[in-house]
Amino acid sequence: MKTRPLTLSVSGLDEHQMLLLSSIVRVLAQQPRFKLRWVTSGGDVTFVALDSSIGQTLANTQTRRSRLFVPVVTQGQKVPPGVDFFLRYPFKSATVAELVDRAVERFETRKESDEEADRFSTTTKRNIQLQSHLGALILQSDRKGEESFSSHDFGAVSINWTSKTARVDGQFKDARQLARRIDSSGRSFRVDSKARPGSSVVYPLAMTLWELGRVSAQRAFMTDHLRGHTLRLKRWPDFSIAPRTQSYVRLFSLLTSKHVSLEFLKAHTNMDAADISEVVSACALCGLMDQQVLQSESPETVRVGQTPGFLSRIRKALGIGGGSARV
Amino acid sequence: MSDDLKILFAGTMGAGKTTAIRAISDIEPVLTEQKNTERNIVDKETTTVALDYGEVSLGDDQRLLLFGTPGQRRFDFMWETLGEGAIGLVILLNDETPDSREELLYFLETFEVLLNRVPTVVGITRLQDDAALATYQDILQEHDRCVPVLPADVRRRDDVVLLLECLLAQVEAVTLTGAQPNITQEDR
Repeated sequence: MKTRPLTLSVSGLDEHQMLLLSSIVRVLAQQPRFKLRWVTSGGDVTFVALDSSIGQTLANTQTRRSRLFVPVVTQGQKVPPGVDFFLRYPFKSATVAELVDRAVERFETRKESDEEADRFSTTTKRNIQLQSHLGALILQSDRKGEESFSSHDFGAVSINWTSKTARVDGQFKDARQLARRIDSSGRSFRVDSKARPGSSVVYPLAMTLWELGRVSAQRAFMTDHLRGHTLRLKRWPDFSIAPRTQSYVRLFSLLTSKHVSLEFLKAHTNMDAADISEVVSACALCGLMDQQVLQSESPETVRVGQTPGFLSRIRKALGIGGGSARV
Repeated sequence: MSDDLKILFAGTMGAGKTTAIRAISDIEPVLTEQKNTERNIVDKETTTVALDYGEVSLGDDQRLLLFGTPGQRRFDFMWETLGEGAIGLVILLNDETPDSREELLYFLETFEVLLNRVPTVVGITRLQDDAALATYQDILQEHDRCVPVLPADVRRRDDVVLLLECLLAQVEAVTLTGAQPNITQEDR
């Protein structure tokens, strides 16, 4: 029996659908037999808009993943083959209740399996641990393990690891926000530059993962996971994507030196915690980050030395602002 | 002067070492340019044959000395000597040169001792496609080197300053944490 409430959320649904569904869930939650909680994102059960391109993804993920993505099927749409969990719109409280019962049963009986991870290509494996903790990506691969695709939990981003591209589906509000961020970065180019507004757009994978990581941090997908870990960059970020400013260069320098905690980074840079979280999240999703569990009984063992005085003199002479990082 | 500090600029012929030093030096750089006898490799009139030298005044009679190595490999016997006492190494590569990636490998081997000791940054000049930066990073990672790679227009002072800030930030970080610079695996 799950000891905590089953959490439910939506992604990609329109505001009317979201309001209706959240109202039904909150009413059901008043009944003693249901232990439910409505969350803004990343729920155990996430209701997503049905899109033909993610039908097969949903079918596979429903049997394998620790989270359950449930498509909302509107009039005229067909339930994708192999999809056991779906919800018809207009919603009825009885069908929502039945689905919740089945979901609870699934979570109770389901056991974690390592078989799934073994099927992934090396490239995908590099990212899968953090991605699953992020709650941001659904992953699957073909049988050869050479290609794999993934989708954001709002069913809006499909990644092709072989061509190193990502298709961002413009039908979804969240995906449009992601696309705007990529477009406004000024450092990216659309692979299919002729795509119409609102349609799917293909971007370079690295840029998409970077921005997806930042968005994930904003939605606090990473916060819980990274707390209690020390982090180190195995490789400097790609500066065709990462910000080329003094603040970020200093942050990356700390991250490439030793395993350090988020608290250490906050204490020794002049950056906001939110900015640090975004960059750390982006680096993690791009597979650059190595992480270790910080044992509570053995506090961080990073030596804290004294910054040489000549650094501030050189910076001053070169007109580099901001002075040294905090020591 | 014993209190002076030194940064070494290395790189391929035509990568912009002389230009980079000129961009930030307080004095007119001392150049040892001669007619280029290797125009089959890089088509430029002159090239550095001994070293370039510039300096930045830090006040109180202290200076930051900027040394540029000659780009031609036949002068590589000088590089180790020039690197003695340096606090940082800037490697400049001209992306328009067909074998710039092989040149990076060459510098990784040649400066192996210095790389184990001082923070390093790789600046890519005349970069045509930003996506190419990752290919230089791939080479560094394959050789267990964790070194930043930045695009740089060394005619622009800001770009050269950012390269140096990349070095200074690493000096600061390794001092703060006691880490060894430029390695992918954390030293224990």
